[in-house]
Amino acid sequence: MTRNRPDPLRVEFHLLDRQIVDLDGRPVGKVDDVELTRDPDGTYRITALLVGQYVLAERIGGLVGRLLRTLARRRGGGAPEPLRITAEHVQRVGSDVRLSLRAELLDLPPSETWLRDTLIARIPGRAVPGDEVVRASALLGRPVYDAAGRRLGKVTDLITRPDEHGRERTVAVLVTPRRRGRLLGYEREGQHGPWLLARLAAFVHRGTREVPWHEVRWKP
Amino acid sequence: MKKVLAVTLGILTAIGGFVDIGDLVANAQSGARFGMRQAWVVVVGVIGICVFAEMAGRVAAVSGRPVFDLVRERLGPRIAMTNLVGSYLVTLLTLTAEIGGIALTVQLASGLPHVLWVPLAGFAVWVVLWRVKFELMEQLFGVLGLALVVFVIALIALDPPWGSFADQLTHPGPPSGENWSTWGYLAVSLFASALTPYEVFFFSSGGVEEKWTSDDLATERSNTAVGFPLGGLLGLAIMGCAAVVYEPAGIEVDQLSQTALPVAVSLGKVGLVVVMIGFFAATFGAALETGLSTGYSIAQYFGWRWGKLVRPREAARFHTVVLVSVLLGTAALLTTIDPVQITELSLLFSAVVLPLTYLPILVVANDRDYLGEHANGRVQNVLGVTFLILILIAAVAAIPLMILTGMGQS
Amino acid sequence: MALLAVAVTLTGCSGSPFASYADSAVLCAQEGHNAVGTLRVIVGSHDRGRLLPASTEAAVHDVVATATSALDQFDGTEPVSPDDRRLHDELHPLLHDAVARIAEVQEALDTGDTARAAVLDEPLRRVDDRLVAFAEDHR
Repeated sequence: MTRNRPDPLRVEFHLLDRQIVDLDGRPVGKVDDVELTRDPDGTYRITALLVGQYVLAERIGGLVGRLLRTLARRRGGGAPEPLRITAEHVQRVGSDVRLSLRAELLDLPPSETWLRDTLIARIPGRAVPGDEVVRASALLGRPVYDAAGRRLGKVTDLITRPDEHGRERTVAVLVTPRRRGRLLGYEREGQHGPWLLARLAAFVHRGTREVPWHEVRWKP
Repeated sequence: MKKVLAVTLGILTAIGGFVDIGDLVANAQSGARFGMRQAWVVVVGVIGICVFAEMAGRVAAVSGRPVFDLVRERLGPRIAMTNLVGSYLVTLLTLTAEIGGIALTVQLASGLPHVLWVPLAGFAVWVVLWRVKFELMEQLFGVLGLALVVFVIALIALDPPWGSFADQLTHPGPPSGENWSTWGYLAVSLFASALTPYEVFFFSSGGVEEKWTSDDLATERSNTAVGFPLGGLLGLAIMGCAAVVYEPAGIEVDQLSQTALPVAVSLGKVGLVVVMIGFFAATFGAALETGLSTGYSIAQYFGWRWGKLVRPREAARFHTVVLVSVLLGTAALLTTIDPVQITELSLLFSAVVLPLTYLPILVVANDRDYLGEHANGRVQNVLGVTFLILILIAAVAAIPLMILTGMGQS
Repeated sequence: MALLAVAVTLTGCSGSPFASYADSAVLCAQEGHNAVGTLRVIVGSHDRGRLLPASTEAAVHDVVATATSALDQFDGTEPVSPDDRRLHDELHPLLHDAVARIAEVQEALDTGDTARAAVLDEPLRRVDDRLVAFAEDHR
């Protein structure tokens, strides 16, 4: 990703469920999930955006997710492959996620997946076999612990910063001791009023704090 | 000069487009039952929609995003899905009511039962959405909708008891012999007929498609600030006509023909023809809007391409949703269910889902990341929160009132 | 979806689930009055040449629907106590009469016999008054 991104970038906040638009501003889909690849030093880097009803369904989970999954399956007819947009093609992350590609390149009939595999997938950033590749939804909501084994809470967001190669790498985790969940966006700086709702959101989100990545343990 | 013309057209379209089958039914029912006592409800409702339409329009113009698009990123996909289901179903119900309204209007003009006209109405709505240039239709039906001004003329010609109207306005509660539950039920319906949820989806989606910028803010504000209140005035005229003809005799309204009758009583055949044109424009125009709105809500949740100006080939999923919705609505009407009852139900359920629609608008309108200096000021927030509270009250009261009064009977 | 089903069952002059037989009777009488009263307005306007024939037909069609629905709904409720039966015996003939008068007027208008339609206003008024009186007495 280029400089056009919020600093720091929060995966759930700034990426998940945002509208993706192409170079001309045409809608491509929503960020239904984010693909992360684990590096040997334990940090994850963002490798791709995943778009697809099946992916969304898996993320939502529960009864609703199952229903969506059945609907998605029938429509696709076959394998519900998500649209995978590698991170290099993201030009800007703002109120929407703008790509440096045109939508036609992405709107491919299933038979022409070779184009997608050769063109988009060959570009650096593609996960090398052997790396642990996860989806952001797998990390979000997981309980985390500190070095002493004490429970810190549940992961509510992943905070990333660009590394020396310009790739987004996780640097910290946002942890909440209570229910995680979005509440209308009151965690962001820009959202102030109305006063009543802001107070309510502050109450619900109390105790949320940032924990550096290296201090976090995924097992007690 | 061209700008003046455009602004005027915008206002005229807003006036004519404001009234739909819900207003035609709710205002007549209230007028027949309570005279002008519920006029305040209409006024409050109109102010409400002006406040929220302005916010939604501002969000569309400055951030380039329509409101429903932002619901998913604000609420998270799961809660937003609930919101989507609720909004979609209510919009579908409203679409059904509008198509029913078209059929009833043609029944009034032809004498043949409305069920015969339902398939034709559904087909016509779909063809227009699929093939016809939308801007033209929007402006055509908006301006034709001005025919409803005939209600104002008819009211004056009926020589209403202005004194007793004034008295009713200052004593807004139910008259003797009526209880607060029925009053509440009709008040909720009236409120919902002014604050129609689909109107805001449509308005903000249209704004994004037409690529409004912050320069267009003044025009859009004038459209809504002038257009909607004048539209509300038409609603009040409908209420007044019903109040003059039906209230003294204690007759209650439950048919669309009863809404039109006072105009015939007062202005004769010419008035009747004009009112039928007005009914047709109002219901057909609203059917187009609700049809598109069914598509907007689903497309904007999943991030698909959408738009009334976009060729069907390029937004296939959006157009499929619209087509399926029109089919479902038409099919429902073919079960010979009474369109007026569907209208009453659509108003009631609209009231229930209003908070789902308006809360995100209020929240996003406050976000400085999206709107910068155009974010809500104190006044807008006070108004917004006040109306949100009113909307919540209406939403919570709607179903209990419906059950308690047997849908407004007792 | 369930709410929709509930709502549909609430329609008609049976009123809310909490309504007593007397309440339902009053509501049905009110429905009858709605129909007859509106018909009198229609006939009056038609007389003065203020209505188009097709619209008259459509409006009268609606009136017929309202009145028959009121009668059907009332027939659908069962009188249980002796008081209920008294109410039934009082209202049923009224509603029946209303439907019959309305049908007569509809026929007169359909055949273009405006004179007969005007004459039929008197019996309409009578049944209307009795329906209103019933509703007032038992409210």
